[in-house]
Amino acid sequence: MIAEAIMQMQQINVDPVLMIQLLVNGLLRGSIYALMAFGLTLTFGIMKVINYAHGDFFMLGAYATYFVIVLSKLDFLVAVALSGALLLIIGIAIERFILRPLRRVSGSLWVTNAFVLTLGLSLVIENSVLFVWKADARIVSGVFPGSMNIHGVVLIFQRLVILVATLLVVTSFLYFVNRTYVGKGIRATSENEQVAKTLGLNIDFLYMLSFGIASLLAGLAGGLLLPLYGAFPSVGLEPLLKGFAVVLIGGLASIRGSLYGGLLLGVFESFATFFFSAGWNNVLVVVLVMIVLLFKPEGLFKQE
Amino acid sequence: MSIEVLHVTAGYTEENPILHHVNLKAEKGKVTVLVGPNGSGKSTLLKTIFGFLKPTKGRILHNEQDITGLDPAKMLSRGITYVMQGFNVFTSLRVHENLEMGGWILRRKGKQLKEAISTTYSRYPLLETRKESRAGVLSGGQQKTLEIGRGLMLTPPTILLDEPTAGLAPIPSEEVYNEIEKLKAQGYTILMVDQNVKKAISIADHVYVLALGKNAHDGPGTEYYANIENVVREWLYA
Repeated sequence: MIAEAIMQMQQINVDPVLMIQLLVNGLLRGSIYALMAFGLTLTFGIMKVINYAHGDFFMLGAYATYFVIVLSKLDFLVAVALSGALLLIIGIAIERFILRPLRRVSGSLWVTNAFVLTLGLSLVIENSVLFVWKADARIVSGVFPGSMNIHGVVLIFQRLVILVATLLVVTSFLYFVNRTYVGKGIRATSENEQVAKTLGLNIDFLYMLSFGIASLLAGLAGGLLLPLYGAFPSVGLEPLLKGFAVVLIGGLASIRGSLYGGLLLGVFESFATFFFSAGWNNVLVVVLVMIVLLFKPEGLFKQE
Repeated sequence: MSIEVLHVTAGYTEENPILHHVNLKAEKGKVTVLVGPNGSGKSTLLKTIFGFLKPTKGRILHNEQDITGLDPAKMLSRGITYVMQGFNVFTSLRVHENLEMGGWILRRKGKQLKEAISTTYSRYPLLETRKESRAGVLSGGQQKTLEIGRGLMLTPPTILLDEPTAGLAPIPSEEVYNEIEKLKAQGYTILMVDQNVKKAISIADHVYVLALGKNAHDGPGTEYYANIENVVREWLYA
């Protein structure tokens, strides 16, 4: 394995084109991971909910995009946007009718209760999808076909579009939390809910919106990756685990950490997969997480 | 706007109340100070007035209107602001953004919000000079000024202050007390809990002493200030 890695390194030393290729692939992966991590950060930061069902929102986004394309023949990006909207509504409904009643009665057991609830929710969603649509992967093809070659760097249009769309979503989310009044209210509540209440912030509304946005982001990620991953009941598991890894690397409840941690993980994975083969991917991710936690247990960035 | 607490019993659990039939009146336009040993229920009383805790017995009136058990989010629109104990600025938000949070209720009224922020900057020019700084990098005294300024964004006539000088050095503490006296001169009704007994009593119009969750004593501030050593000995270390 090591000899192979060294050979790969020698190869990469004389091939900057390959390095650029790996970097672009890494940014694509990383931006998707950042999207997943944003959602987890939102729900943990403001609501103290470790949302195990987050991966299932990714999965539902993939399925929703698939069915919108197949049934209505709408453009891929339009289908993704509609799926995101659907997941926003689903997330809002889950917070309002399931999480909120639990929060009212949980008291100091809220964090544990919420985690167990989302675990149960995940099982229900996944098994319902398995029952209705079976385990077969749904694939869409012909989404932005073709590629271009720029000085030896092959850019596949499909991946390029996904990367640009993902970066647009990331930018929009960052604009929302940093520049809009409601976004700042979410950040303020995440920092100190009791003080936020004394200033008249509507905590119930902000919780509901945060969970809805987290679902939206996961759904968009699932929809955007449909051409690459397909849609099947457990498709959200790996993005969920990678999202958790990003949160641990970047820092709990740190939006900046989610962004940089996601990009770091994506690029790391891209190069690691090349040097060590895809089978070692998840192992190396765990090693990276462990190294970060050993030296910076709070993550690379402080909570915001 | 006055605050009246009438025979209030309250606590963090119904089985173990902290406050027992407490009575208090904070007169309009005056500084009312609440002192007592640690654990006597002073902060609990402020939290109960503001709605964080619901009394099991008794009533709370604000300007003769019953506000007992009202949700904290509704208190601001009733004209009561609460500056909590400790440093409670939103550290990741800028000074300007902290003030925006103080004007949350005005968020759809852009012009009014801008005016409120402008008024706060006129009152506290220091905040304007640091408006783009993240609140977390301000000094302790500056953070407390920001907290007070944020609490006054909607010019609520009644202010609840919980140990406003806790953790502050002498000079910033003195500035906070000077600010409290200015607010009183402007007609605000102030109910303050403080551990700095001597200084708090020196600016108080009326003093209440709480011990073991019950009224122990009360009277004009001048009376207490003249007899401060006995007050401390008898009521605070009883």
